[in-house]
Amino acid sequence: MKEPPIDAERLAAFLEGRSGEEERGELIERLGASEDQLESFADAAAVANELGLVASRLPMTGNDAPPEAGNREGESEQPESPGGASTLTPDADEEPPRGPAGREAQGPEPLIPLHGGNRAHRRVRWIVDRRWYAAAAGVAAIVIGSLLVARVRESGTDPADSGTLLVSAGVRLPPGWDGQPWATARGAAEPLSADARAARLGARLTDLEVAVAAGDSGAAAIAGDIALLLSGIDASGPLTTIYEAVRTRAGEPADRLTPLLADGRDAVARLAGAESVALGTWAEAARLAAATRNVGFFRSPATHHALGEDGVSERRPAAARAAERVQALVAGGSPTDWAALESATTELLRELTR
Amino acid sequence: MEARQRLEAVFVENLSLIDRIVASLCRRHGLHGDEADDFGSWVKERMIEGDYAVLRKFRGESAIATYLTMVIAMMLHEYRVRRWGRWRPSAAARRHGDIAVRLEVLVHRQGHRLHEAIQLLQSSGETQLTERQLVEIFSRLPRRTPLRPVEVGPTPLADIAVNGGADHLVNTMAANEDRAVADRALQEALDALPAEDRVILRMRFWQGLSVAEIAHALHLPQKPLYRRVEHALAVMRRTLETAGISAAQANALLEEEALR
Repeated sequence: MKEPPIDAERLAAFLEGRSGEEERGELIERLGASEDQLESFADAAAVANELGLVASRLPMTGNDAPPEAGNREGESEQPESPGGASTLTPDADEEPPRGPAGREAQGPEPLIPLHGGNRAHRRVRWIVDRRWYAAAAGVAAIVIGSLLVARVRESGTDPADSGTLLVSAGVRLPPGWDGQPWATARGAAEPLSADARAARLGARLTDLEVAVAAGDSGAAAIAGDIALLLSGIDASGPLTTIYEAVRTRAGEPADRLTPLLADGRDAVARLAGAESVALGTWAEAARLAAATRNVGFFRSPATHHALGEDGVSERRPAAARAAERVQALVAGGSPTDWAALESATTELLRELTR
Repeated sequence: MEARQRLEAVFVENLSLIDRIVASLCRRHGLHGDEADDFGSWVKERMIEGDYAVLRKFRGESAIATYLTMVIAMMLHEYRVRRWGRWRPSAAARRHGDIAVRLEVLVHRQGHRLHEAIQLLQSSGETQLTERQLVEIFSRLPRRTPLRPVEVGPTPLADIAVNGGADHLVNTMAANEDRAVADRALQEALDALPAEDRVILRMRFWQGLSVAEIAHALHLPQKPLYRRVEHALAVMRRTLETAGISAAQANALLEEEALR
């Protein structure tokens, strides 16, 4: 029996690199077995690349240019053709297509060069590593954070205030920040659970608060995402209107929008579930704090409360385990392995939003 | 009603993006002018259908821009199959760029003669290339059977030798058998590859994506991907040679496979 087509959003998430290993494996198998679905995926990939819709999630490894012909390390096979280099070498299609001027007249190209060939290589564009920006932001955040520790300690214990902690510390969303790191759901036809939706809302509320405070133009898109998440909850109409208003007013000064955000946050918590919203808020704030190396955040009472007995540990076992890893990394109040902490907080957010 | 209004607002907000996605897909598939406009209108109708059912299904597990890109790419597949069956631009045409794709569409899908196609492209302003340059591009593209039957009339049919006798029949059967063996060998060679290698090869040689684009789409490091493609090709070559298929025969088969 023919399998139903793969859900479009699962493929979109895969294209963005959000899929976990198991999900990725399943999608690869299915794409490998269906020419039609692979064609659509390839089309989407090409378009997304052309329009710059999807950033690379891979760290910059140095020169990503293809290996030079005749200068390969570890080659175990002898080249087969008198031409020297074996089989496929990238040609001018690694750059935008050029006109035929300068090319020698040739017949139809072999579809797949199973015989030997020897073509010129091209360097490819370098992809800017967003970690550089996060590191630079982190240096600034450490300086600011240390000056604001006393102020942070005066904050409330509520994890729902986590966004405010970051705003107080002057944290900004790092360039290219991925505010929706949650993995796709298996069995994508199943609706999102109430807790998962609430946690996602909480996370986006943090991003919105930080973005508005910093005058970040991305605030409009984040407000739109929140409105869309709210549309799945009954009786959310008036609340959705708030975020649509924020979306259209995103360019206004922060002090004009902050009251709107505060009202919205409280109303979202009441509608979607205060606990899950608060945990999503805290987890996203923790990710940002880890990415910007904000020590003060991890010493705050809100962190203590979120990681304590009444916080994440009451959630699903997987989330509780993720919270334990975070707790281990922030023990003593001064995290040292920021990369591991960012990874652990991301994993925690994924579990809370699953 | 409220939900519909919200979804309508999202649709309106993303109209510009939808148009850009449609335009990019049309270029990739050689749709131009009326065909492109028709597809764009069809996409929007489908988006509005069922009170914006497409948008209502969005769960927030990806960026909405990527979701819309994927949805519209799938819509294009459906649209193309309805209009033109399985016909699609060749990977070779895609590698040679938008004009090569347009040439292939005009000649092989729409049935224009080459010089007519060239005149159409030049007069519409789609290209500044000379006739010679366009002929050269076309010469690099794989030969294809016309999408639509070509009317030949009764006279040419009378000249076609048919029923060449038993020898012809035997030779044809033998050729068909060889062909069947080669087809099986090719499919076995492809199936023997790990799923990810199969996907990579198909994206590279059937869909015409560059190695950089494939690395980006599958979130794989780019540099090792070149060697990986080479290795997969080498494995296929050995498998086919073991089955007695030469590289030239294999290439011919793969061309046909990719154009099915």
